[in-house]
Order: sequence, then C-alpha cells, then structure tokens
Amino acid sequence: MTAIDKALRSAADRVLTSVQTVIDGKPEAASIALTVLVAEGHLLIEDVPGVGKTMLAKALARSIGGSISRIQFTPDLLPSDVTGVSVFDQAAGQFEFKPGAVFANLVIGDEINRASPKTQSALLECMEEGQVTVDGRTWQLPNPFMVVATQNPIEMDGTYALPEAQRDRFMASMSMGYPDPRAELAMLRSRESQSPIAAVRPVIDTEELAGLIAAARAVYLSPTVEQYLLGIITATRAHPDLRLGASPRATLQFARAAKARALLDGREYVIPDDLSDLAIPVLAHRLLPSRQAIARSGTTEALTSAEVVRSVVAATPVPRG
Amino acid sequence: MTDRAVLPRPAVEAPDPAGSRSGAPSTSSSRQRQPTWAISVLSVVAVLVASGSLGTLVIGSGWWLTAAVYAAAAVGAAGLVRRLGRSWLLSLLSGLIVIALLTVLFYGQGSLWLGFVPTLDTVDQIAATIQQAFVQIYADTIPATLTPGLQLMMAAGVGVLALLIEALVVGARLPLLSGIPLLLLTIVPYRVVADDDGLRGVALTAVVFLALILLDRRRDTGQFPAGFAAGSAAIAVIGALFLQAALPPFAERPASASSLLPVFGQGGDPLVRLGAHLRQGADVVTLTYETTSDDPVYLRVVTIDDLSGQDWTPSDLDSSDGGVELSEFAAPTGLDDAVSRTEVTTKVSDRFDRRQWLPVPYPATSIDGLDGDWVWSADSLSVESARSTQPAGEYTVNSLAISPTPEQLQNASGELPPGFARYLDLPEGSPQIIADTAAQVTADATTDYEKAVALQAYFRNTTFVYDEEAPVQAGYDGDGMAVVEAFLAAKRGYCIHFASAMTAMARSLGIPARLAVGYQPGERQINAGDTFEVTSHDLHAWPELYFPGVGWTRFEPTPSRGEAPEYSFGVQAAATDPGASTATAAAPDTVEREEAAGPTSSAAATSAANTLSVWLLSVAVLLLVLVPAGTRIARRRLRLGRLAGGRAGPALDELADTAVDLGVIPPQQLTPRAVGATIGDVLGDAPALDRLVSAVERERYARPRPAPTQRAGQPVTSEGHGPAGTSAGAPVDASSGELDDAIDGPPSAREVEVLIHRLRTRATRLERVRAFLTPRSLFRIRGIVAAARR
Repeated sequence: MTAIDKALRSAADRVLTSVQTVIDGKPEAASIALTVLVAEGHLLIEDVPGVGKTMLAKALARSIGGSISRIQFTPDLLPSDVTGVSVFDQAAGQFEFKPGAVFANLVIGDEINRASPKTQSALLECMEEGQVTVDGRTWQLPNPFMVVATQNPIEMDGTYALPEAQRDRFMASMSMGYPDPRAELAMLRSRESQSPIAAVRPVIDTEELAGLIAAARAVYLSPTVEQYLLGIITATRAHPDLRLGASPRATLQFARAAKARALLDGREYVIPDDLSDLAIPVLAHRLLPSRQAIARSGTTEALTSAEVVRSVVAATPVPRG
Repeated sequence: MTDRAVLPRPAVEAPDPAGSRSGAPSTSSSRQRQPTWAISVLSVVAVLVASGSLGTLVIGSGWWLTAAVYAAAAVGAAGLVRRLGRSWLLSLLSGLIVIALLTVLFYGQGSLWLGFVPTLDTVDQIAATIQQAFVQIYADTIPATLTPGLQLMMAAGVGVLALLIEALVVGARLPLLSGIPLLLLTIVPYRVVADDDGLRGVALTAVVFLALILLDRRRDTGQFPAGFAAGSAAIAVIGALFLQAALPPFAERPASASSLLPVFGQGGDPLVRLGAHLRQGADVVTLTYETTSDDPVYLRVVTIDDLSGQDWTPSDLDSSDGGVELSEFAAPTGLDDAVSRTEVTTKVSDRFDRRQWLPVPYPATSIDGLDGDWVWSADSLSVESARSTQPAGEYTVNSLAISPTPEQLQNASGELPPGFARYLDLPEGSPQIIADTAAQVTADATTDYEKAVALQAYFRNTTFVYDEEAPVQAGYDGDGMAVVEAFLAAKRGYCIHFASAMTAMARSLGIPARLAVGYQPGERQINAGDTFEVTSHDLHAWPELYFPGVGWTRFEPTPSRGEAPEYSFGVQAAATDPGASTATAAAPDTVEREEAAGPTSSAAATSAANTLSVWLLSVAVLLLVLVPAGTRIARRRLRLGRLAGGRAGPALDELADTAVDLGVIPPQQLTPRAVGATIGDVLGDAPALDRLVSAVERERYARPRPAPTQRAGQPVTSEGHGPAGTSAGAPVDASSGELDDAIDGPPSAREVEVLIHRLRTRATRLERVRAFLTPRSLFRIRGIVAAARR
C-alpha cells in the first residue's frame, strides 16, 4: 500500500518535536494533543496545577503558526468576552462586530471550570458549531480551529465542573501527570535561563495543517476495524458499571481520532491498536460510572471510568482481516 | 481525566476456568456457561462408556448402573461447587464426599442409625465389603461373580475417575490429558482377557473423547471447528484400525485363563496364576529354604477339594477345625503309628510379601518364628493368613517326612473319616472320558493303591507331554472339568492339568483325592550348603490321595516335574529295584525334554506374536500421543507456506502460537502489533518480526488493493462533522510521493522459522518438550481468535 506523503509526515514530526521541547518526558501527551488537532477535535486537559497543561497548549499553538488566543476563565467572565460583541459605531452609524477571544486557530481556555455555566456554554457552542452567532449574524471561526481547555480537578469553591453533556464535546481528555524525576531534573536545569516556550517557533503553517487534516480524513477504516470500534462503543452502553455509555458523537470522534493517529503513525489505514490506544483518552471522560463501581474501585470517578474502558477494550475481540 | 494517556495493549485473557470473574463484561462468560455443563455431562458419559469395557471382567451388568449413579452424583457435586466459585480442591473434595456418602448409603445398609446415619458398624461393614473384594480380586477368575464388594470397588473407581476427568477437562482445561485415564480404562480388559468386543469400546470411547475435546473448544469459540473435527476423526479412525491390526494375537487367549488380578496389580495367588507364572520368561526367586530332610521338600500352599464349577477355590478354612496356635498342629489325618516317619525341620526364607497361604511341607507339626497372624486348618494342615495377605518373612517349620511302604499302602483299608465324602465328589455332569479313562487305565489293578500307581504311571509313561503353552493355544487352560476333558484328549498340558486329571480320576475310582498347589522342591544351591532356591517356575500342583492308616499321600503324575515318591511306583518296582525311583523318575525326564522341543518352538512363535503385538500397541499409543505434535507441525508448515502466497497473517498466528505453546506469553488474544510487541520483548531486536507485523496489519486493515484510482482526492469518509469550511487544504493524494516508511515486504518463511527457533531457545527444555507434546495453542488461543473472527 502507499505510504503517507513524506512532507506530511515530516510536518507532523516537526510539530511533535517542537511540542516536546517544552513538555519534557511526556511524549504521549504531546502525541494525543497533536492527534486531536489533526482530527479536528478539542482537547480537555485535566490535572492538578503546575504540571504543564497550559504550557502544552501554548507550545502546540505556537508550533502550528496560527493565531492563538488565551482565555483565562474566571467567575465574572461574560459570554460576550468569549464570542465577541456588536458595538454601535457612531461614525459609520451601524453595529460593528468586535470578535471575542474565540476567534483564533487555537484557543486556550484556562481553568474552564471556574467560569459560570453560561460562559462555558458559549465556548462549547463555538466548539461544536465552528461559528459564532451574535445578534442574529453568524461569524465563521478560522480554520483550523481547536480549543484546548484545561480543568483543575481539585474541588474548589466557585467552580462549575463541566457536566457530562459538555465534556462529550471534547474529543479527548487527558491528564499530564507528574514528570519522571529525570525529566524533572532536566527541566530544572534547562529553565534557569529562560522558559523554553519563548523559543518555540511555528514549524508548520495552517495550510500544511489543513493538508494533514484532509489526509487524516482520507485514512482508511476497514469494515473489520469499524466493527471493533462499534464493539467497544456498544460494550460501554451495556456495561453494568456504567450509568452512561458512549454517545454516537463519541463513535464519530473515536473514528476520527483513530484515523489521525494512524496518519501520524505513517499509515493510511487504521489498525485496532489505534483504537485501543486511544480508547481511554477519547472515551473515559464521556462515561459516567455507577456509584457502586466507584465505591468498589475506591478511586475517583475518572479513574473508575478509565478502568472500565480498559476492561471493555480487553474484552472486545480483536478483528482479523 | 485519565491517569495514563495511553492504554496498555488490549488483551483478552483466556476465559477464567472457574468462570468467576467480577467486573468483567458478562457477555463472554454467559456464553461459556452452557457448554460447561455439557462438558461435565460428557465427561461422565466418557467414563461410563470407557468403563463399559470392564464389563467383560464380571458377570452381570448391575455394577454399571451403580457406577453411573456414582459418577453422575460426584461430578454433579463437584460441578456445583465449582459453579459457586469455590476452589478446585473444594470441588474435588465435595465430589469425593459424595462418593463416600453413596457408599455409606448403598453398602452400609443395616448398620445405619435411623436408616441414614453411619455408625462404627457401618465403617466395619464397608471395610469388610472392600476386603472381601480384594480377596476376590486376588483369587477369582474372569469373569468374576459380581459381589457387593466388587461392585463397590468398580462403581467407586468409576466415580473417582469421572471426577478426575471432569476436573481435568472443565477445571484445568486440559482435555487432552483426560484421554490417558480413558485409554487405560479401555485397555485394561485387554491385558486381562482379550475380548473382541473391547475394540468397539475403544472406538466408542474415542468418539466420546473427541466430542469432549470439541465441546471444550466450543466453550472457547461458540462453534465447532469443523476442519479440526474432521482431522481428529480421521486420526481416530486410523488409530482404531491400527489397534485392530495390532491386537488380534491377544484375542487368542481364552477368557478363563486369567484372573482379575492384573487389573489391580500383580498378585501372588499361585493357584490361578500358576500357568502364567510358569510361562513367564523371568524366573523370580520366591523363597529359599534349608532343610534337615534327606529329600527335597514339597512346600504346599493350598489344597483344593471342591472340583465343581468353573473356579476351583481353595478349601475353606474352618476355624473350629484348626487353630491359631502355631506351636502345635493337629495330628495328620489318618496317619497310623506304624508308618515310618522322620522329623524334618525346614527353615524358610520367604521373599514374597503378600502371602495369603503359607508354603509349608505336609504334614507340618509346628511353626516357629512366623510374623503376623495365621490360622491353620486341621484337615488340610494348610496355613492361611488371618488378614487378606501379609508377608511371612522367615519361619521354621517342623514337619514329618512319611515313608509308607508299598505294602502298607497296598493293605490300607478302613473307614473313611467323617466328612470325607467331599473328597469323592465329582461335579454333576463331569465328562464321561474321566471315568472311562480311569477305568480303562486301572483295569488290571485290584486295590486302591494299585489303581493310584497305575494312574500315575499312565500319565508319566504314556504319550502325555508336558507343555505350558498348548492348553493356552488350544483354549483349555484353567480350571474346571471341561479342561480336564480337553486335557485327556489332547494329552498336552502342565502340572495343573496332570494333577487335576489324576485327582478327578482317582475320585471316579472311589479313592479320596484332593488337589494340592504349592512349590516343587526347587534347586539346591551348590555353594550355599543345604539351601534350596524356589522360583516362580517351581510353582506346582499335585494330587494327594487318601489311604486309611497312612493318610494323605502325594503322587506325582506330571512328567519331568518334581519327584515321584518311592511308594508311588508300586509294589513290584519298589521290591525289585530300590533305586527305581530315581531311574524311573529320570527316564521320562529325558523323553519329555526331547518331546518338548516341538512345543517350545511353537511357544516361541506365540511369544514372538505377543511381543509383536505389544510393540504394535506401543507404537499405536505413541502415535496417539504424538497426534497433537503432528497436528501442530502440519499446521506450522501450512501457515508458513501461506507466506509464499503473500499471506502473512497465518505466519504471525504461528509465531504467537509457538510463544503460547512455550509458555513465553500467556494464551490471550492480541492485536498483531501487540503480538509483535510481546514476542519482541522476549526476543529483543527482531526486524523480521516488525516486518511481519506490518505486513499483517496491511493485509488485514488496509484498503483493499484494487482501489488506486478512487482513493485520490475523493471524500472517503462520511463524517462531514467538523467546522464548516474545512476544505481549506488541497485534497491530499496519499498515493503520491515516495514510499517514505520503506515497509519491506513480509519476511520469508525461512526468516519466520528463525524467529520461531529463537523463541524456542528462550524456553527451558521442559517447556519445549511440553510445547511439543501438548501444544496449548491447539486448544486455547485458536479458539479465542476464531471467536473474535465471527
């Protein structure tokens, strides 16, 4: 079979390398972030403060050479701050649209759970539709468009955790985790002088990115692998430990993510490993484990979901050609 | 939030044998549930079918039903406990407990308190039943009468076997291993009786066994592997044909020739195994003795006085008639003081550790130094073990050497002691040839003594030939009047035939007679003083005839064996030539040796045939054992051969199976990449493996080949779900440009073989042998993978 265009491969590699210069010792995190980008999804990063959530988002944003905006969500942030607002232009004698922070190729939404539900919804609507509607007029968001939202899982006063319906709009969710000691030491030494994020330069342009996205869409998903995918999805719906299984949107996004991963791995066809590797990042945050399951596992809801996904994947038969 | 961004390799574990997983999706486990019961049931059926071949060993079939109850109940209990998620040990134990309970219920009748609570009496009763069975196994011939004890042993044995097989198949998931007990069960009757019907039993058992394996596989796959089934069936048929070809020599053995003994181990009953002992090649030293007697000593073991029926059993010891005190035996029946006698002391050193009867000279007066509990009988002066069997060790026997003169015997007359009628009994319908021949031979004799001498002379001096094989070949080996008839016609046989014929003929002439079984004197050891060595070839039988005033006197009708007593040659012979005894004894010896040349060669032929059949049988068993290995090798060649045709998947399957066989990776279902990674972990750097994995992935998951024109630039998938206007980038023609990831073609079969070899070197020798003989992949991973395929 034909291989992927060399230029595309190298473009993807460049982004990965670039992101990894910032995030030490987290190749999987960088890889998932890039996968979501190429799959035209949005990424939710959930982790404790200070592990590099924002750094990862920034590095990705800077590497692709598109426009970047960053929204620090606070309880008093208004929806119009995100989407934009129509202002009456005295000189022109008409309303003029002032685009909000969301008009960028890459939008970093920091601590999204601190914003009011109303503001959250505004952002999530943009994410879903790729457009902004203000005062009856619709404004197209730039392309490519990706939201990287970060969320602090520690319970805090004045936060509004994203409800399941909204979490479902994120293609993938991941945690950064602490770097391993060696990576942390390297980070400690290298960052005495300056933050590496300052050194990140765009390594691909938006056109190349669009090429990657198109190529990802063209990746082949064989019927057997489709069955495998559906098998995993269906199993979550019937699983006794889950109150809520994966949605049809999850099915679509799972497929797209898998295709992107295949592309980034230099294949133009999806293999079962693409799905099994992505199952937890793509599915776990959408699922609602039953209270008994959480109690039994003795961990958090998120960890329980991940465990359920793991067992579902393990129990789903691998397709053969 | 996820704790790890990347999921570990997906892996489907082999179904939990106990079927007791928690938290796992229930879809697969519910699928397995039903066949497990079916497998349990089939295990019971397999054992029952196989045990059906034991039916030739006993008269009647009631035991089989009991066995069915035992097996079903035991397996049911074990299966239930396993289903409840208990450990295999508990499940096995519960099965055994059920067997014990059934035994109490069936065989403890009468001693149960309130009809169901076992008491101490129950234990005694069952122990006695079992002991009785052992005695029967020891002594009875085939087919045996179905006593309660025997029924208990067989049924409980079948129950335990069923339990074991079910545990092997359902619990341990080792269906192949269950074939061994089944095979043994079906083969046993062959060793004992060669029964033609047994072959059908083997074939039927093979069929059930096959079904068992298939059902076990279905447990994995949910479907019957048709190809595998056909292959196995073919092998089974070929194997059965092979067995058929191998077995006929066995079939020539008549059923009456052997006892139950071989079923439960080689025993020591000299009576029914006598012929076999004489025929067997190895000459085993049974005992040695030193004696003060001038003449070698006949060591008698038992006497037989009841000649009726198929099975001649030793005289029952009547304890009221004898005693347990070994220091003084009763005086020999009918011995007058006038008969000259010498006191003889014989020190016996017995090497056989399972004596039921003690070898002692007749008539014994006392025994010293004997271990264990023994009982002697006043009538026969036989000494029997008070337990079923026990070792005798070393003991000293005092006995009398009686030398009646021919005159004393000639003039013997008087009343027979009470109860001697049984020594004159001939069974109803005894063949006429016995009485006719006796009358004819003794036509000139006037007294009982003369008749006895004439009878002995008839056997020793006419055309009778000592031949251990002829009765076996002609089908009249064993006990019973029919055998005597056949022997008198054929005039070939060995001691038991001569002795029983003379006993029967003497009785027909009105002389009280009984059959004695024991050892002829054996061989004097030149270097060891007066030590005599008695071997298994010295087993012997001789008639004892009763003369009033003299008592029981030994005769020796068997030519070339033993030593005929002086008095047995008659008045004239003894009078004219004192040395006649040795001369006459020696003469037939040489004659018989010459005549024995013929039978010996035919014996050699038979034993060659037997050896051949044993060989063929061994080869057949070996072939059966090698079936899994052969299947495995054939499959390997097939799969690697597919590489040449451009199919890489089978080669990777093969590699994975090899790893599973070797125990290098657990039997689980993996994606090609995961298989490669797992094997790669074991092998280290292996470019050929990587190429194989890529080839398999391309083969299975990539776009089918004939689509190059469509692919370029066409919207391929249906999800137009992204933000509007995504078509900013030019459609990418994935087929353009260089092949940058430089995927080589799949590796050659040779390269895969190298990988397989490298895998092997990672395993221990034991694992390699196991992988060869019982490849796990044959019964595990293929099934899972096949399930995935559906």
